[in-house]
Amino acid sequence: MENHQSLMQKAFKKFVRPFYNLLSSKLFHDLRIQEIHDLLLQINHRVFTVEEELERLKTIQSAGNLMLSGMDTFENPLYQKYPAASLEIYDIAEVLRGRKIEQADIVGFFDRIPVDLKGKTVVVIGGGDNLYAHAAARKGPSKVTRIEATSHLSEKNKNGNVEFVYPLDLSKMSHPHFDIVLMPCASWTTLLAPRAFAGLGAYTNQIMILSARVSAHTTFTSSPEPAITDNNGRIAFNDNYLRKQLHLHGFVEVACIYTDGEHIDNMFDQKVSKFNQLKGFYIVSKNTKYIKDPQYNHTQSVGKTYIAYKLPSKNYIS
Amino acid sequence: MKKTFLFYGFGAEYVLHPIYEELIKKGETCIEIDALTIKNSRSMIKKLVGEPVVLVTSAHLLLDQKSFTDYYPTDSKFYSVMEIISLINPLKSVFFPHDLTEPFIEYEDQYLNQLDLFLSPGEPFSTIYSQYVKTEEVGWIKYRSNQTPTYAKLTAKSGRAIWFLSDFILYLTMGMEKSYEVLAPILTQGVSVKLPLWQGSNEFEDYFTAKGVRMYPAVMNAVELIQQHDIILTNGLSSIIAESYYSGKTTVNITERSHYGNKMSVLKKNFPDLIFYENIVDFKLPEVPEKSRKPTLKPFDMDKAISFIIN
Repeated sequence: MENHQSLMQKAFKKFVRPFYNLLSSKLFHDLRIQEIHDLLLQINHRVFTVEEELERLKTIQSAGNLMLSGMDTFENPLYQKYPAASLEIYDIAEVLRGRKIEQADIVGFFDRIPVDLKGKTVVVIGGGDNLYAHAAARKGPSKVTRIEATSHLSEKNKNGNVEFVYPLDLSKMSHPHFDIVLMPCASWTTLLAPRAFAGLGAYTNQIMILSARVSAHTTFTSSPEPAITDNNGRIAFNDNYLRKQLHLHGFVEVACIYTDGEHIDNMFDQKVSKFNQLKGFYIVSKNTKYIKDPQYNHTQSVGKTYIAYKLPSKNYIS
Repeated sequence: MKKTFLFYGFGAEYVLHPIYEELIKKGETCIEIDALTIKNSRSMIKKLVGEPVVLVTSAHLLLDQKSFTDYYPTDSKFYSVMEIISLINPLKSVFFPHDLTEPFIEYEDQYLNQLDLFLSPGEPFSTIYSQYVKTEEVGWIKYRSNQTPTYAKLTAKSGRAIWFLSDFILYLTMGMEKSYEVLAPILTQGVSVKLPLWQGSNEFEDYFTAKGVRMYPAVMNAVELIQQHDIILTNGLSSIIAESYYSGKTTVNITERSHYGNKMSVLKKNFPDLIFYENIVDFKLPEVPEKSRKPTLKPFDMDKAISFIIN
């Protein structure tokens, strides 16, 4: 009997166990391979995502560098790839770069603003040059302050009457109250208008005057779209959106005083801005035919200068 | 030239009459305009152009003819506070809030720098608004510490609850009969009612009284009535919520038919013990849990307020 058992054990050891060992080893091996394979897949996926993100960031960085260097032609495919990010960077770059202002532009700006600066405290935001401040100073204000952009995040410097701030940090500054705010650079308006005007409304005692790129064909519509991209790839606001932003942030009356070489002096523009605070906004819906007009061009923008009043202008109080 | 003090507000939102009376006693020249009572206050305002005027107001800063009549149809002709400031260029403009729950409505804080002085009822408003305008704390204008109760305190539980019915315009539009029908599930539980001082509130008072409801005259001081009751019912967004809450009373808010805009979360955040009832029929007076707190409402300091206005 013992011999029989021993024989069976020997046979088992010799023939079955190796086969079993081989089989189990193969099985475990396959399982581990599968597991590792799964892990690798996951890792690869994550690496791919990280790479994609890195590529996106590099692209944005390249776009930013291009724009900062002044080579800001929107023909670059980078802009088409990430338009929103690129446009954002464009506007930051624009205010940081502070393009050279022609003397004629400055004179023209002050010619067309029907505001007496005498004895007022004035702040000039952007423009990238001291020329606006000089021109404002000649109009007899009690004090002129400048706020200019610096590319260093969160850096706040002061040099004489000039405060340097990263554009998107403007809302974090503690401001004195100003009688009149001048924002002659449209890129600053593009940056600040969707950002509650950086809280400047609460610190403006009387008037804000600003330049803006505005869609040429949405002037008097109540389109919900705040902005278009014009044929230069730049953000241009819907006129009504810009007015609404100004109303929301503390200005009772808004008038357009200048459009691409033409002075605006009509009651219609005043009516468009007639403010109706509690109920919302009373915006004249006129010239809406463009929607059906095949000639309507989504990509035209014009430069406009707006004047936003804190109090209703007395002429229009009936 | 002697200064004229112009007191300006709208209906129940005009809370400045006691200050007006005090200044009259002091021999000052004062004009009082409730823009809803006076049919054409515009002509009165226009006469003040070029005069030395101190504007004292409790009105919403931007409530102009069009925006007001969109909500509350009225024949009265009036200006918004912003229009008045623009027209008469006052020597000084002073603002008192009329609503303790929401002293300034949306976007108004952007316009505070047009005022010279904000007379705050207390914290947190003093700290919040002092960054925009000069702010002094004078207590809550509707809470007068020297007021003597005009009636004996009630004791029965049914007599200890009062509903300060807000959003009155909804009921005014609905009519007296329909309104009573809607409100009856609460009114029949012995809950007293005070309506806001508004056109048409007298007729409602008479009608509800005839139905057996205990009505307090709309002219009565709400804070005084709050002090005399234990359970305060409110609806919608009303100053009564804060007045009752800061007075330490159990405060209930009935949400049915009221509109809150996007302020419901603010109510829940600022007044965590506020008890909400979604439907009028859900309210059962004996089952209302007691949620009283330490009172923090500060009484109004008349002398301090007047010295800020005059000097």
